Amino acid sequence: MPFFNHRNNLIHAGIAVALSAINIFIVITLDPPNAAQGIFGNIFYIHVPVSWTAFLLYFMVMISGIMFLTKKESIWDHRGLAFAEVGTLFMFLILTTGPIWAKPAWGHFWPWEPRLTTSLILFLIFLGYFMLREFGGNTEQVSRYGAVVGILAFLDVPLIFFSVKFWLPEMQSHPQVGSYFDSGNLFPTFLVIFSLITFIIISTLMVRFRVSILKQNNIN
Amino acid sequence: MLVHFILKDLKIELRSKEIITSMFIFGLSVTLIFALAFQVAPAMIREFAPGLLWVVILFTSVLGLNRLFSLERDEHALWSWSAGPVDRGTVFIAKVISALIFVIFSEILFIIPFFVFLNLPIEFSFFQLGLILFVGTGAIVSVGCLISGITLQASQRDVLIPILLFPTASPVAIAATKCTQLLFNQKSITEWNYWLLILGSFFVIFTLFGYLVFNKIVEE
Amino acid sequence: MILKVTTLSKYFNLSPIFRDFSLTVYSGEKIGLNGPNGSGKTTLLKMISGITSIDSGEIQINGLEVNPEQTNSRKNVFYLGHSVGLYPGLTGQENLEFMAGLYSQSTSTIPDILSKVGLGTNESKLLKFYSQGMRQRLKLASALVIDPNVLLLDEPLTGLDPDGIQLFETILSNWDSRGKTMVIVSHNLDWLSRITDRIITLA
Repeated sequence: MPFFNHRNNLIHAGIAVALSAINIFIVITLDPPNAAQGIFGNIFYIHVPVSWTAFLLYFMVMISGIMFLTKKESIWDHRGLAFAEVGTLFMFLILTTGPIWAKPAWGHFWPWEPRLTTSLILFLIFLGYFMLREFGGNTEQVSRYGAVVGILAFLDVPLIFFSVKFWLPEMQSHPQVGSYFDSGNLFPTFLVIFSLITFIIISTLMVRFRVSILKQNNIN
Repeated sequence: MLVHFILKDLKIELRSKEIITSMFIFGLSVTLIFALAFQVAPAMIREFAPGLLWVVILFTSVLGLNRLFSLERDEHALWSWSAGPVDRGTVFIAKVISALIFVIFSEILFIIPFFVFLNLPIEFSFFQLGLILFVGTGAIVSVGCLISGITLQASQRDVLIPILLFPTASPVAIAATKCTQLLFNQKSITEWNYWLLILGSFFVIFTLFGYLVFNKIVEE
Repeated sequence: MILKVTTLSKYFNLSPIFRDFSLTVYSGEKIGLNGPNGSGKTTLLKMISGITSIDSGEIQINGLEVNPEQTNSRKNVFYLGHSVGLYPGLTGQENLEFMAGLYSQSTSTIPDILSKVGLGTNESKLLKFYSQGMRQRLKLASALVIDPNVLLLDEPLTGLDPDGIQLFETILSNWDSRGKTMVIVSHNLDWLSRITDRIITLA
């Protein structure tokens, strides 16, 4: 593949694979954070960093949208689409790891708490984004529309979050990274940060790969 | 210029009565379906009623927005102002105001049957209900007009408008339902002003955003 | 010089319609645009009028750049396209009043203009009930109401009966004597060569 002919991309991929392998090994073999949840509790080390990565990617969709509308360079459209695709994949992972964790942790699959609900709504908006990209008009038009919807989606985030937050006060609040664990050990926090860096490196690799494909299609 | 555009839309609608009539009849039909489907004890209906009201308003708004923007698509009428010495942001604001007038008018028409079919007691201030309807509807049509503008050239716009609008307008659904529920439960405005603030913020943010980007999305 | 197109590029689904296209039209000139279907004639007119955006390059009218933010450049140019570009739910008169309002023109001349184009008895008829020929006449009427310096005419004879063609040619010669600049698209090369100063053929 021409993408991997470049040394930087090869190094990037190598680091991503190595970090992922170490990450998966630690997450699977580590003792669960609290005894009540058993092995499912370790999903926390995937769910939280995936969630932060997904929001970061969607934030980058908004930035790419703003840059495309102001600078009118097609590279920003390619980046926006790539960030949106990878971000939606990560969002899908949140929506699957969330219920897998929620059931043993709280006894029901979907807790309707602010962050998870915000993730679901953003996921649905971006499904609409991809439909718009497909059926919205010619290539040049949908680039502009996609940029606007990407900005619109992230503008909506604080509104969604603050409306869901006080919507159902009887719902349990989502545990924070620091307060979740049984002991005062800093290692779990370190592991979450390590996973976050791993996922960011994997996602940037995926985005760069996707941008290079889009650029190649553009030239052809 | 703003008034010029609003008067144009009002003139067309006063003559054909197409938009308001279709929204009113559709709203009535959806209310009937809800009344039949939710045939439970009256106390339960009272709990569901605020949510049902805003579902009806969201569905009828989609219909109205689709028709309002189709006026510009038929015979390429938008050439008159997109080729003319007119600020397109002003056209967006005019569309938001026109949409607000039409949707609120149809709400006034179907709200009475809504209360009658669901046997809801009227134990609240009409002025306060009017305030919630005004701000909530404004929030829906502000982002709805932006999405309708984006999908103006799309082949699947009938489907794309609700697919994009419903998740984006979810904070409106939550906040408006909360306001209405607290109003129906005879709570004072100080208990629901937080939700009114969310609605107002949504209205302002998306009207401003639409005004800024409308010239980038309306073209053939 | 009144209309200047500089290194204009436009793509449609990544295929180039225009690549570094340049054109200068001088005040009072009449330019014909000819070419096969899909060569970009209508797209060029729509870009000059501001309906369609450009991907790169620049279009200037009287020194003012044509872009969505710049409303002044669109004050003195009018596009008569394939479609009538007006509201089916309004009458002919109401549509012309709406257009006059957009261009800050007087509405007092509208009844005379409607008579001139042969639509005098149809003021209360909604546009959606107009025939193709009547729509074409209404388009001419809107150009007369706005009275711009630059006219972009896209297949102006389509749908006109012999009386309508006669009417159009009368109006055209009036515009010509008043020094209006025109860019006219037509497949009829003989007609174009008769009425225009030069013809540009798009590939």
